[in-house]
Amino acid sequence: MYNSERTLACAIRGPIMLIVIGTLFAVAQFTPYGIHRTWPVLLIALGLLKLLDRVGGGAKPPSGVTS
Amino acid sequence: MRRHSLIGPLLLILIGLLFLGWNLRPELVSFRLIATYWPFLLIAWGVLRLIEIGYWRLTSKPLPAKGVSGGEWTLIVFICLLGSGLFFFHERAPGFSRVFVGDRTVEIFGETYDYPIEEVRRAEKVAKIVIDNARGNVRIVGADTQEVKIGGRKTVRAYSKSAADDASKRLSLKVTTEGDQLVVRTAQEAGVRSDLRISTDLELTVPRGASIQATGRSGDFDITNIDGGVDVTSSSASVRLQDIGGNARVDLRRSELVRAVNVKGNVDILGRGQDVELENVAGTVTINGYYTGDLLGRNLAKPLLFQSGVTELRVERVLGQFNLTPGDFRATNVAGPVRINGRSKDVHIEQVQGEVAISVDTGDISLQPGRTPDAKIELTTRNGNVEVGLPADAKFEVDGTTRRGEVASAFGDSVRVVTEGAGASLKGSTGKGAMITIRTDRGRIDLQKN
Repeated sequence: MYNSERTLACAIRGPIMLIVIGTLFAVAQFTPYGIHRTWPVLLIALGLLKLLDRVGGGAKPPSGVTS
Repeated sequence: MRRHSLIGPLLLILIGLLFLGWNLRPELVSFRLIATYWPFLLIAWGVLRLIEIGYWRLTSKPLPAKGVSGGEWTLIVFICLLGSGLFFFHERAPGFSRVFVGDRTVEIFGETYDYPIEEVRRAEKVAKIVIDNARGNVRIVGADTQEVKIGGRKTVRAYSKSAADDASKRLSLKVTTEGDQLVVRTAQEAGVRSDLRISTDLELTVPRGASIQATGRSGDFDITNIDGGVDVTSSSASVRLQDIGGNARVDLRRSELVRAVNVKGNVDILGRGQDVELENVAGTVTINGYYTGDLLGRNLAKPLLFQSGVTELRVERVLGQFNLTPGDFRATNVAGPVRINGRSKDVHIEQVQGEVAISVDTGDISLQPGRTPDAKIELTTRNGNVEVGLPADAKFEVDGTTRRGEVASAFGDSVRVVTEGAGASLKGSTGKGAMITIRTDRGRIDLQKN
């Protein structure tokens, strides 16, 4: 289970980042907030995903629990 | 069990459909459509991949280690670059409906709303007019009047009329009298959205006897027909002064052009910028700062002193004109002392009287005084040719040396040419006259007869 959660967290990281990038470019097209202003959102998203990875499946499983 | 992603085939189908649409129904699939909506391709791609991952997990298929592979990221970066490029080109290309204003993408959205300004003040006792306009162009014209007329407009670039109205209300023009000063100030209240671009273009008609003190952050100043002094300070501005009776002082942090035409007083230019044009200035001209573009001078009655980075130029009087560019200095009909100190510059001077002292690191020097020199001439270049043309009957003394190069003289026996190793020298006199000293480390010296 641990491995499966972790794999899921890893697997969804790419697509979610892709959606964030796409959204930022769309925001740049239709609002005054260009990529040059909104790029820190990418860092935040990446940080959140890493955090999700740690919280959701990254913690070491207790001994005796098999995955 | 192998996973099969749908995204590759879907992308192919999409590209095929786009090209087909382009060929069959060009009015539906336009360049503009792709340039505007391409980011949704990335979003759709991400959403589809998430759905796929959810489906793979539900059907217990092995999940990929990475949701988006390295190859796919490469393609995504390529799409982002292409999309941004298309967008940029689309916005800048002529013939499209939108207009690109300024240098920021922010400005290409929204609409411009104008709010006219009109105000008149009596100004019998006003000796000085102070203008403080943060953003926007200011045009001041002196006239035989006892009133100050303020016209122009506030311009707000916003997404809606209500937002523009609100911003306009918060930007007010305050006109006050303080002693013998009339102060015109644009004041912006706090709370205006930072993404709105607000500027105030002012057009003032003022009594011509007044002096002007103008400050701003960005926007050009155009001041004409003022008998008093003019003082302009701005972070970013081009300044045009014409028909000014007093002294003019311009202090800028950034500028494309400073032009002063018909100024009776002194001109003092400080700060940084590009081009400077001076014409018909009766007083002294001092330029002290970093003006890295072209410096053009025509008909300057008093000395000009230019100091910018490594280049130093001093000309006593300019009867004709001169042009100093980053690469060379050309002057016709100037009076010395003419002094030039520079690093890399070709120097061409025609018709000069008085002392001449030119010293450059790299560059050719060509001097055609057009008359018998009446004061000493010193020409020094470390790396470059020196050419001096003098009238056939000119009386002068000459002493020239090149460490590596040839020497030629058209003055026959009176000027002796000696070759020494790789270098050569010339020395002589055609009679009692001014001393001409020529030094080059590497280059040819040519003494010609005109």
